[in-house]
Amino acid sequence: MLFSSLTFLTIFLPLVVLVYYSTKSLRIRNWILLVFSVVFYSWGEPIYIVLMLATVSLNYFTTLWFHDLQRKCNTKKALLVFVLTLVFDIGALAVFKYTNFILFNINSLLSLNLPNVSIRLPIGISFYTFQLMSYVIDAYFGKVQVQKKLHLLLTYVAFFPQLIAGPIVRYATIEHELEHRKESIQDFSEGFQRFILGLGKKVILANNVAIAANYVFAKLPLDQMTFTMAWMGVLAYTLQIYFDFSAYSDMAIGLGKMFGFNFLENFNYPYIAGSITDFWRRWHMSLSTWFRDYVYIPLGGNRVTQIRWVFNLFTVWFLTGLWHGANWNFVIWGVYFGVILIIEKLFLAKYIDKLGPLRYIYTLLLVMVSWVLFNSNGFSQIQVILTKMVSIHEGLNVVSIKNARLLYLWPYFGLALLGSTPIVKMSLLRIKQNRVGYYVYFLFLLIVLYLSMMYLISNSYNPFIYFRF
Amino acid sequence: MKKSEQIFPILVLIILALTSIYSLFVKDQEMISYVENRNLKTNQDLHPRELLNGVFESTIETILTDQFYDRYEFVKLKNKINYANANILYSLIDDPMVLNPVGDTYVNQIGSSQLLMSNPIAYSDIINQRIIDRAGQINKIAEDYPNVGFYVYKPTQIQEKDFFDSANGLSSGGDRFEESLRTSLQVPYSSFKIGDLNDYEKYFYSTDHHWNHRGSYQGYLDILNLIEGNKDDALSPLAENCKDGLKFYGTYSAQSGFVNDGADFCVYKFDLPEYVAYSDGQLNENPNDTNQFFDRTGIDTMDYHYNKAYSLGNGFVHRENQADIEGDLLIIGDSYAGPVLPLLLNHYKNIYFVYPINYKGIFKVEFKYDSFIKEKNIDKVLFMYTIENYFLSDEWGDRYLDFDVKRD
Repeated sequence: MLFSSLTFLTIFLPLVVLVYYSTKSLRIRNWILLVFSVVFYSWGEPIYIVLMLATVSLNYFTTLWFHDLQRKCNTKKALLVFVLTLVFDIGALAVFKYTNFILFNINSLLSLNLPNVSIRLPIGISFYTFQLMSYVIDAYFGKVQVQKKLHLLLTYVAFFPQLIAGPIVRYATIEHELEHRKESIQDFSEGFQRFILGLGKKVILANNVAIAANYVFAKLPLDQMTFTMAWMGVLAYTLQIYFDFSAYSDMAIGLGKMFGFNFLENFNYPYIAGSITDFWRRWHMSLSTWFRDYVYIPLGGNRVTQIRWVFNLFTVWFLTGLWHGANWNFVIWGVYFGVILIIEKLFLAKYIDKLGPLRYIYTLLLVMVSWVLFNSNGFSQIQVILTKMVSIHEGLNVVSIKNARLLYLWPYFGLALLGSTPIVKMSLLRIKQNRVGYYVYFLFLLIVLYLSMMYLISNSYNPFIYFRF
Repeated sequence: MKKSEQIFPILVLIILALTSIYSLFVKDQEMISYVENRNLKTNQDLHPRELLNGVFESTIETILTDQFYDRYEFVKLKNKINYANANILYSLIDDPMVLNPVGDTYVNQIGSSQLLMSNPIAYSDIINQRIIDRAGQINKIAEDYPNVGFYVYKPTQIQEKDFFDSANGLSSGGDRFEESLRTSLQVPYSSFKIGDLNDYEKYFYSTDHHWNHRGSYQGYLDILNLIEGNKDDALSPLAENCKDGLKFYGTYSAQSGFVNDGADFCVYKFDLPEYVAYSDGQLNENPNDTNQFFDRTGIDTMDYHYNKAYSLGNGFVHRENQADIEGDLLIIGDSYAGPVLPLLLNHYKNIYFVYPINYKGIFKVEFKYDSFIKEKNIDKVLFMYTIENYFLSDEWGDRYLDFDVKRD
């Protein structure tokens, strides 16, 4: 189920709130969240709920098992169970997400003709697998208590706000809140406000700029690509992916808060970053910190030889790319960032600092190029779009945008560019300070909700990029 | 925290929930969206047995979307916002011949005027060949019936003209297609003339692809001239009847989201002969009654139905003049023929009108030219349909084939 659907907004959400707050027992409330989360996940694709429940259950039992072995000082066997658990988790992810990618590469390398396997990617498998792995690893190293109650572990993994598109909530973050949280009307209201803002970011901004991005990346023939179209498409996708994903995180964080959970922030205005290093401190923070803590640091981090450090970074970014999708363009996208980060850390950072405001343009340009790698369908499209982006001699051709029936989208681009900076948030907070502004703020929220409903009811374009990860 | 801030989420969630309950279970379910020209899903389409394959879930979302309380206001508001966004930039363009896209479909606004039109027809060899082939079919049947007069009249549309080529960087093909048709035909031919934008404004609706009462009257005069060689006996309009305050929102309006002002819908009053009409074999006691259009019952659903005004949902129409007069005319045509039929009847004993797409849809067979011409002893055959019906192939299939002259 999508947050940006009428089913969620007008049926699921009111119902789960009503049922949840009809009891005061936290134990029952957790069960209610679990049941609704299962319904949420199963909605539209019931079969894969079995896979998720089985995976969580297996992790639950094996964690109890190796914990028991650790208590009995049987460390070798505990390590074996621990490793096997991780192998299972990664294996399940690999089977469902990467089988056809692996077959494609085998076929290409060995000139074989092995047929593709008919496997559909279970929604959110990358997210919930990483959440589970964080629990298993932290439990093994004693950073979190082993959860004795299966339904609570299931609630943690399946909790609908963050289940299918993140943020990747670590068990440590909500370990205490699972059994000891205190909901308040203030949190509920603030969470709902955050949800509406996220909904507006998604439905009003992301979906509308997505129309332009989709036109350039999916509809426009390569031989008709122009300087104007390439830049418009890349800018549109740059805005789309940010507003799409950060909106989902906003909605997830807001919904979590409505039920007493405090998730960590996932985005911090990444497009005002002054370097790529800074960008990755602001973009999908739950993923980058996950890789830092569970891959980079265990590999030795930066406390190793320079060659080994380069290898560590390369590995992390190779895996980051691969996590995003079973395709070489995602791998190249990850490695692209890995290489830039290595260069920045080795020597470029000190020069970037001297660039002044130009460092923002430097970062944004590199990020925009990365989205071309990320979103293109094959290398020829990457080549054409990047070539056209530097074909400045063609000049700007607004008529081509008009003829593509896209000119009406310009306000959404403007609002999205503005919304990529902290200006809007700061303004809203300031407005809310005084008495009149307080009501203006709520009027603004109602308008955002009304417009979001308008787009949903009008059958507007409504894709969710991070659903496929 | 203020009380209002506490109440806010609860109030909003209650309103959302009640709206969904009302939309799904209380309100009368609408079957068709005339605004979007499509069928709507209703709660009758929900089948719990489809829960496991995911169909139930997608259906309930579609029903909520389709049946949501006051949804047309949401749809129209979205269209108006998008139109206003575009129009801010369009107003900066000074050239009155620039075509400004409106909505998501094929409709354009001409400059900053209220006139709407389709995309100009682009040239292609395939289209050209289809036109030549059709002309060949008409030539062949004319050759096979030397005692029957065959004529071709083309109601020209604005999208055929090259007026907009230079301002929009286009290379339209309409004029070339007309030349191909004219030179390929071996029977008398003429077409409606649109000399400039003023003609378009005068003879066509600003919100629909059809000609208005002035255009159809001019078409009638053209046809008389083509078939009879003069228009001396032509009917003259006695009066012009426009219903004040009623606006015509045609296909262009519907496709562009009703963002423009409606057009006036007027009719000429004529002194028509007494006649008997049959539509698809049934006696039609009230044919061509444009008052149906002015019946505002169900205004939301009918106000862009040109066909509603001219009873053009039929595949086969027969009108018999009660006056003592001779001559039978067979017209193979499309919706442009609607307002012309009663005027032409003044000059013939019988007029038979075949609308091939509707004919095939209603009678489930192709129209049999040879049998019909022989059986009814037809004197004259007039082919009068727009250029699209010589070549149109779209998502609904090769629709131009329905207009092919298929022989028995």
